[in-house]
Amino acid sequence: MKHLGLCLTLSLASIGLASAADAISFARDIAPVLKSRCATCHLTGEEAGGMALYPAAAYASIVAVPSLESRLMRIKPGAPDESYLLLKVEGRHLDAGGSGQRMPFGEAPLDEAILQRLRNWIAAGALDN
Amino acid sequence: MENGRKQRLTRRELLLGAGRLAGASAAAGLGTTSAQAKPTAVSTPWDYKTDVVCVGSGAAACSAAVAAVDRGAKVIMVEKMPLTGGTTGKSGGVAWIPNHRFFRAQGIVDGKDDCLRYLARYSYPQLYTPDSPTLGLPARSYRLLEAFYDNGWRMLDRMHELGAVRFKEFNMWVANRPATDYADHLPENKVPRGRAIEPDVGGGASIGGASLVNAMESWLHQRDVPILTGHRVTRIVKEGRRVVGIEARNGDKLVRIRARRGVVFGTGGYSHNTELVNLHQPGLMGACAKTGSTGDFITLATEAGARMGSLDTAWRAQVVLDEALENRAVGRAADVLPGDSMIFVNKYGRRVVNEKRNYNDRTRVHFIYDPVREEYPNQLLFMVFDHRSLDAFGGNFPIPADVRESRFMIKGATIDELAANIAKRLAAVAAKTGGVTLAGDFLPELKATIERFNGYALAGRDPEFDRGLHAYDNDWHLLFSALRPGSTQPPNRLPRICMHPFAGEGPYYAFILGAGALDTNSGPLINEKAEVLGHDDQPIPGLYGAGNCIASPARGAYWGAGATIGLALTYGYIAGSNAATAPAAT
Repeated sequence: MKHLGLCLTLSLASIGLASAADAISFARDIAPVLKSRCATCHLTGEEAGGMALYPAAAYASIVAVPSLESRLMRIKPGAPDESYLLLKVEGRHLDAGGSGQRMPFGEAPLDEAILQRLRNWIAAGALDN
Repeated sequence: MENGRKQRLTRRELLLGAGRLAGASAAAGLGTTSAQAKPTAVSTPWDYKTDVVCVGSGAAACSAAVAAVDRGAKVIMVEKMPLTGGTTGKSGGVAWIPNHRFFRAQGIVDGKDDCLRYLARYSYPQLYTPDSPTLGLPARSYRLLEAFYDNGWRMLDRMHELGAVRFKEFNMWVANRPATDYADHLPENKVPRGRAIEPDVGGGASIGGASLVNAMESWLHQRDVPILTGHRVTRIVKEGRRVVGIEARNGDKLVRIRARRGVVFGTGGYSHNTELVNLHQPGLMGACAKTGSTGDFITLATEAGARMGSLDTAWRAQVVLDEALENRAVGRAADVLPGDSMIFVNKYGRRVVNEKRNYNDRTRVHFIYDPVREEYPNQLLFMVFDHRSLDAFGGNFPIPADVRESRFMIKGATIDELAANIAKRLAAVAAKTGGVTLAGDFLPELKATIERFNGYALAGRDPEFDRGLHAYDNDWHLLFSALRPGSTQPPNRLPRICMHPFAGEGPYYAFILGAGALDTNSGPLINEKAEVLGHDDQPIPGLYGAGNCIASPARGAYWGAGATIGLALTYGYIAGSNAATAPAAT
């Protein structure tokens, strides 16, 4: 009975986690952040960093694309801690062998809710949804 | 309906950003212009018809659009990049406006005669004559300065009345004081502090510019002004002498927009057009400007018969050489340089400028020519500092808060080792710098220079370059040399806070600096009505320009923080107002 209860609890928790992650949409939740906080400087890909982060181009520019500053991918689907872009906005990029300042450049860091949203999206497979 | 299309276009229909932007091809050179594009037949129908077309979406173009709408005109905006905002969008959004509403409210007199003397003296030091009716300037140049003074504060008042954008006094963020002008010490400057203003909502070092353009764009959206992104203007369409519209490319699609009253260009400078840079600039290795700043209006206006003004001016700032060589579209210029135990030296190990002077004027020292050695001795400068400045001021660009951040900072355990490492870095980039090398006596000269500087710092007087003598040096040092959180360095209690002796022991550090810019500010000639002038020196009917895409009224001077945006907003306002009330083309 105790074992069944534990399984049930774990199952419910998994469903909850899956629901939270599934609910994240790249178009609705991630692209607007990239547009408003990143694309001013990383617009066409010709700038330092080599990323085009306006909505129509952002996904292809970051998912499964090698970082120019480290050995990591910019976004590695399913692996937030191996996604250089996430590390860069969390300020953990230097420990991963990266360089440059924490992003957004010269601004206050992204708030925790946004960082968690980004992390959850990556963990759920970084879908183009 | 006109030409079978709806006159009133929905936002979804108009934000046609899906096409590949033209900036990618333009950045490689002059890009596609009407010289290459096939001229369309006169009978080719217009896709849209409006009163005023505003090209660009930064401060100049948005201000023009607001002014035109305010005068009752229908407006369409056209932007070649996939997002709006221009270089304004990545700036601090500060604007320099003499005699603004906040001065007047406080009873501070920023009178026209005195202000014009400051502008004229600073922009044209070689011509300035105080008792001349035009202060020694050519009449056209004087009228441009006059129009800026007369219309800047009016523009600001009207923007407030319309609710398009509201400003507040710029108090230098954490420094919390009215901003000191860039030539505060000139006797002609009777109001050396406080002319700079910033957006009332969303002000900030890196976000104010986005707030500024977003506010105006929001106001325009509420009035159903279409903004076509991903549309690159390729031709100015004329009927006889008169400009009647534009052609633009959206991917492979040609879009023709008729402008019954006028076309206003606010399309930025040409910092990222290396051909134009090499032809006209004394040195510009990198720039903060958006990559769309490729000087499109110079080509378009030339083909429309415009006369060029100065082509060699820019809002200048230094850049970290290695960063600019990697990508000339730098994230940030080395503008207000941090550190007090910090100096620049040239290849001869000698200081050449007050390191705390404003970035525009300081950068011009790179262009000094030595007619004996037949070289530019300051082509590259070496920003040298010690571990004290690294600890105290890390996090103030380019000094990193964490040394791992910076791939380009040069280090040496001793001055000797630092000099050797600078030489190695120069050798590595020689092919891109014309082979600049350190002089044979660089090391002993550098050591002597540091020793002299140490004495100046202790005495509180720099007899070579007056560092710290004037308010600008110390006021802006306070803002951009903020103590690093966690630093254990004591505050500088010496007579001049921007000077401190170097530590007697290493490590020591350096960056190589080159000449760069925020953006160029040269191009076609305009008059005081923002009308673009033709070869006959008469206005080309229907064609207007503002901001960095035309020959700046400021010429080579940078009057104060926000002079760039102040001029863009003011002349955009003048252009939009005049375009909207011009007689309609038949």
